[in-house]
Amino acid sequence: MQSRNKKWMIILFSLPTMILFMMLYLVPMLIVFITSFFEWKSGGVFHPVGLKNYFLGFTADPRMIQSIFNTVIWTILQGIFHVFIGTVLALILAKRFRGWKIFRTIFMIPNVISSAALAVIFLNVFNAKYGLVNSFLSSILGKPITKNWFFDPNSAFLTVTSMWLLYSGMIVIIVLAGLFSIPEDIYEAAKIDGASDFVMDISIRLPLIRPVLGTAVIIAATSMLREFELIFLTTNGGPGDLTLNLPLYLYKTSLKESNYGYANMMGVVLIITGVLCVFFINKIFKMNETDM
Amino acid sequence: MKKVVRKSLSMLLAGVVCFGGLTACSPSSKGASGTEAKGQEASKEGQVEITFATSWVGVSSSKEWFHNRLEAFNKEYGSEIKVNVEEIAGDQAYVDKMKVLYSSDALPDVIAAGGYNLIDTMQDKFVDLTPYIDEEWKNSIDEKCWEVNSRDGKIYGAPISKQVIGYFYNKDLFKKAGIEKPASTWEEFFQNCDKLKAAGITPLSMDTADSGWVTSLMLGAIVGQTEEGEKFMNTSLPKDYNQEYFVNAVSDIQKMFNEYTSTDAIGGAYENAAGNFFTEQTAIIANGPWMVGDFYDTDKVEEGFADKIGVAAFPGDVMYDAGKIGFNVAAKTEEKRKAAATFVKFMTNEDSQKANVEITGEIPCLKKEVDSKVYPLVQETIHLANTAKRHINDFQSLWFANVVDEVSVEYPLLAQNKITAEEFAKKLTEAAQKNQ
Repeated sequence: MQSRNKKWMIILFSLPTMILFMMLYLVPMLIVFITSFFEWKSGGVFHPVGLKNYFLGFTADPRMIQSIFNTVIWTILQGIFHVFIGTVLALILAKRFRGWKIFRTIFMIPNVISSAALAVIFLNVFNAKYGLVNSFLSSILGKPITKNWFFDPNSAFLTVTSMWLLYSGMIVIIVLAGLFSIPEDIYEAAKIDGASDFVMDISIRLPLIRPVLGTAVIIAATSMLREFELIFLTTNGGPGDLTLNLPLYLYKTSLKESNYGYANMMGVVLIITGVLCVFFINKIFKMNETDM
Repeated sequence: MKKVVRKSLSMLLAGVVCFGGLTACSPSSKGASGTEAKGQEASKEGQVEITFATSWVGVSSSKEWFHNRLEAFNKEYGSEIKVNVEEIAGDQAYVDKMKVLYSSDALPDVIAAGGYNLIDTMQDKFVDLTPYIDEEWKNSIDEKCWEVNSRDGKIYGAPISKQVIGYFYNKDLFKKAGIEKPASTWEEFFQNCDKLKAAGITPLSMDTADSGWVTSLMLGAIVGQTEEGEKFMNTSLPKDYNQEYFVNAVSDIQKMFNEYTSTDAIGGAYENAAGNFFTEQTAIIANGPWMVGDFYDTDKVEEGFADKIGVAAFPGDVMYDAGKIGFNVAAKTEEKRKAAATFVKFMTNEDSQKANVEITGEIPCLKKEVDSKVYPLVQETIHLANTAKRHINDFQSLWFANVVDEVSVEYPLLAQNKITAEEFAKKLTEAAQKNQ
């Protein structure tokens, strides 16, 4: 009787979240999925076209291919390098040297600044005329440097990437939490066996926080499937389409071309990419298994 | 007993959370469109309520004018019509928001997109205003302003101002470079640029971000110097940019980027271009008379800056001089449509237009000359427009929104010679042809 009551309580307490989830995510997602098979444009154009949007997107739209390519590259870079940097920093901070908390806070600063402010900061840092980077290079090289970092096709992609790749404060926090949850006696046993700090990092700490690392990779990689503001506010996907990603292309297709069906096709591609991303990261990190 | 109380409390809390969530999402919530709704008091009996979404807020130069006219409207019609103002900061954010509301059939009753053309995208939701426009109203407005707001003989917008644009130049810097007067041909214009450059002055303010406004004004003016170019620059929603005159104009823009502008032009926004002109780092900027107020603003420029500035028609005696998209109505019921029409008629009447030119520098679209106190440079701009040989409309009003966006991402490539003028024109054509 008591367990039946408990079940009802669980259902009752889950209900608000379930209803909100359905209204805010599930229903819109279904609408996005269904309308991705429609030609839906401004002026009342709305009729089914089957797989035409998907076919056009993958065979006749080089801009969509470019945006998918950029999105995938950024997702991989973020899932690997961003998490690697964050993990290394977390392993260093986990030694709890004097002032480690200050460093932890400093690493978090880029994560708490709004994207709009961050974009303006980066536009100024990389400005061709008065930017910090060019001023620094000019003073070192002793000649005026006027490189247009964001808009030179040779440097645009890397400059945009630099806006998020190095700032892994969130990963540091997540990995640190994982590291601090490892029982101390494991380290003590390892120390007695003569293990060095480096060996303990590689052979004990990292394997034991594998699920945490998996979570960090999921967060980092999927953040690139949602990245919009920083690109929109700096390069707007240019020059040409060199820094265009799928969310920005979706936005442009929807709001500049008023081609909602085609934009929703991109939405579906993004959702599927996200699900696949999470699935493979789960598999790679064996997130459902535990070592502890 | 304790258990019962705890259970009841839990259920009550769950109910409250659930109900709260539902009401938060209901369309009757304040600011249904997600924007701040600034209504006055609750509507009185018999009062028709209409919604008006506007970007004339925050730092918008039209904010003061709008508040002035809304107050006057409320004084005159407050007992009959209540205007609920929804504030959306930024022109582009406003346009994007309207597109989202259009797709969900939730447009506000009255829209004013600050010159952006929403008629061709949202015509099916906009009200044909023809039945609401009486003879007096119709006859008071310049015909070209009705034209730009009409489609197939139906009027979808009530004009408030004209788009009149030439270019401003710094007389002191011109004198320093030995230039006596603004150029009358593009050949002479480039010679003047060479003279400025030789004197150590960067000739042109240019930009590429957003719509590359300043640069695209130059582009349009070069296109509009011939008869067929003028025709092109008055064509709504052109789909083919692979025209010789257009390609030639793009080549000239490429030359300007390469030789005559500042290093921050590529990727720079209007603010960068204007900043360079205000600080006398550049000698020429293309823009409309609404900029004149800034020439007197000592927060932006040095004292006496306005006295150094002159205004000129583009070479070939070309001026942007066209009607501008005005107020659109998307009200769904007849009662609201009438109220909305009354509101837009008031906001576009002679007094409103007079206040508009005095406060913002926007040129009135009335047939008769308005007796108003405006800056001499504004008067001069109007005179130049009235006497110009060729009159063109601006790209932002005429071209597809995605073409305008394409311009801004292709300019950096053009400026760095990564694409040719022909390729630039081809890209714009491809973007235009994506539209129906």
